[in-house]
Amino acid sequence: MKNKILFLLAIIPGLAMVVLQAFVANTMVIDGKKISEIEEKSSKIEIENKNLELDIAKLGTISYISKKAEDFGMQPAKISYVTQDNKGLASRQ
Amino acid sequence: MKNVSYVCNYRVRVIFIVITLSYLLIIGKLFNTQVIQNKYWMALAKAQHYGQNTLPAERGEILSSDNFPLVLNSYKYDLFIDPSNSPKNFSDIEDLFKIVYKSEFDKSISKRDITFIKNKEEVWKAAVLDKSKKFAYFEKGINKDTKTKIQNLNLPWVGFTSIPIRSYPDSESYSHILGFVGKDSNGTETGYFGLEGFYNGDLTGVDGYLVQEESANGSPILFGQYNNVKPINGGSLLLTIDRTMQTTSFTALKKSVEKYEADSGIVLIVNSKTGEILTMAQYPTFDPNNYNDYYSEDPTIFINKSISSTYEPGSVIKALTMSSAIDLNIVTPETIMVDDGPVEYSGYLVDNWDLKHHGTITMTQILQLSDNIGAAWVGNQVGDTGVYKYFTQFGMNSKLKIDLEGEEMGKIRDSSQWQDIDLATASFGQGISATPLQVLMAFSTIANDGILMKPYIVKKIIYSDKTINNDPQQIRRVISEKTSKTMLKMLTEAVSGGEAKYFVSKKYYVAGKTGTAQIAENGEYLKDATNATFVGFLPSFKEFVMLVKLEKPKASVYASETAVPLWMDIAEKLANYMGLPPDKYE
Repeated sequence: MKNKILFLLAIIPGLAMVVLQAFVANTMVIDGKKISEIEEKSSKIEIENKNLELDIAKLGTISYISKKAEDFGMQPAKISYVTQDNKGLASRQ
Repeated sequence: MKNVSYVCNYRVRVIFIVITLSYLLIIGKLFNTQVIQNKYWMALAKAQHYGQNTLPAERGEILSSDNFPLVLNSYKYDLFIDPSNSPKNFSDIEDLFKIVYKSEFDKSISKRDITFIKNKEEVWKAAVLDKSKKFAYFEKGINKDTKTKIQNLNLPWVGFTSIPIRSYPDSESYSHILGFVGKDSNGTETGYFGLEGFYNGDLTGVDGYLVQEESANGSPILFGQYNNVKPINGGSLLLTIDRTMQTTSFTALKKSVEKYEADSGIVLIVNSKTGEILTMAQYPTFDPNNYNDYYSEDPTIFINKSISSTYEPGSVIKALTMSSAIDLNIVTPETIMVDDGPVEYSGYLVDNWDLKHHGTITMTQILQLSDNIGAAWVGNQVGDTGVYKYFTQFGMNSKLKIDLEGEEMGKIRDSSQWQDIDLATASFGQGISATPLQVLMAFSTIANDGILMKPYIVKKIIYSDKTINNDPQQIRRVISEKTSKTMLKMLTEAVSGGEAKYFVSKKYYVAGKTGTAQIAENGEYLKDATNATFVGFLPSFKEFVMLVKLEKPKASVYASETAVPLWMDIAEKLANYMGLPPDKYE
């Protein structure tokens, strides 16, 4: 009986270590995969961001904005100047 | 009993020997693997355990003076298919074709390029032929919108790889400033022309790499070995270019080149106080996003004519001849000379462009009338050494070292080789060559109280850890402040009373000079083709100095009828933009 107990005491920590090792290894593999997926996602988002930055830049060019303004029927602002004491004063119309 | 024991012992010995030999074989194999072939197997194991990925460095962006991106990095997509799963019949992929080649399918059937579509069908058939393959490229360089449309088709045998590209959002206005990025003979991305070429080293970063322990399926192992050398991104360039001025100038230039049927045109604007280039527009232009399309048609389209193309500047040079004579106190604006007919120099007759002669005229009138005989007379008073010295001091005959690729220096032969005729023609801008930038900077010197500034286009180079500032640099004083003021007055009168007077601004006084330069080809001047230049500034403000040049305009050979109206149009718009109130009240 005593021998059995000693045997179990010797074998259980060993088994526990094996189970723990398997659990840790499994967790690490799963987490590694998660990291890999997150990295891939982050890279995709980064690419999307870069392309959105390009879209913003295209929409922000003066040539695009002036064309749009023209399409909307907008007119360029006219600035007329009046003089006072030989100095030009501007008034936007 | 003895025999049995002998047999047993014999068997034991044989087994012992076999086992021993087996052990020796194993030990030998292990020794071979672990000691002799150690390096090979270590490398193989490392390759399995460790994944090494290059972390590409980003090429620096290029920003206008208001921090707006003129060049940035984005991505396109290469479309690949899985031939082992893709349908064999072409009819099954028609929807995909219609999206990928939308531009062709948008056309009516009669206008479609049938050969192009047939070729693409052949590419498809070749790609799907080998069913053992899991991967075959189908089309490269697909944009984001097309990719989204394809993804919406939910085709399981279609995939994409993202490819980094250099993007130019305003595809035409800045092309000659920016240049483009292409691949060199080693397949490495390299900048060509413009800023991409000149600052290639600064814009290019240093790639990093990531080494990490990986599991069999390629996922990183936590707490495994990890070595991350981060990439060093390239520096970004902050330019002196003003977006509004550039776009305004480019739009007006494009209209004028078409209106006057010119071969090409440029607009160059500089801040005379600092040397900052505010505008550098050229038309016709190219789209740096698709530079290959232009290369096959006409590779010379990439040349920045403001700095890389020299020409005989013509009458605009009279302002420099006059400046030197005034600076040396040889003449004043009121000094008179007599123009009563062609004058002979070294056996050649020098005459006026309109063959008219005006008798007794002042120095100011020489500029107003753009009188060749008068300019030659002034040059003669200064002498060949003096004219040569002043011209070179104004920045002619040497590079101004602008930070753009391909700057030329023009050509003025040394004055020791001049004959009288060379001095005479040089005085009114013939027989010498210069770039438009040199002409602009010479006038900028007059506007800037006689000081020549170094032209530059990059204000800052911004790295992740430091910023390098390009500060204004004075090259030299060329003429005195007094001469500059005198010239300013003379050039203002030259515009208001000169050949340009019919097109001059009604709102602003303008100081400047026209130049209708003949074009020499095969040793002779062309009869009906000229280069029309107008260079000047608003003398009350001197905020900017602008040069406009139209090459071979067909509507008129005179600069006063082509380059001048364009200059006035742009100048008034820019004055409005800068909030400069008119100084001319009629």
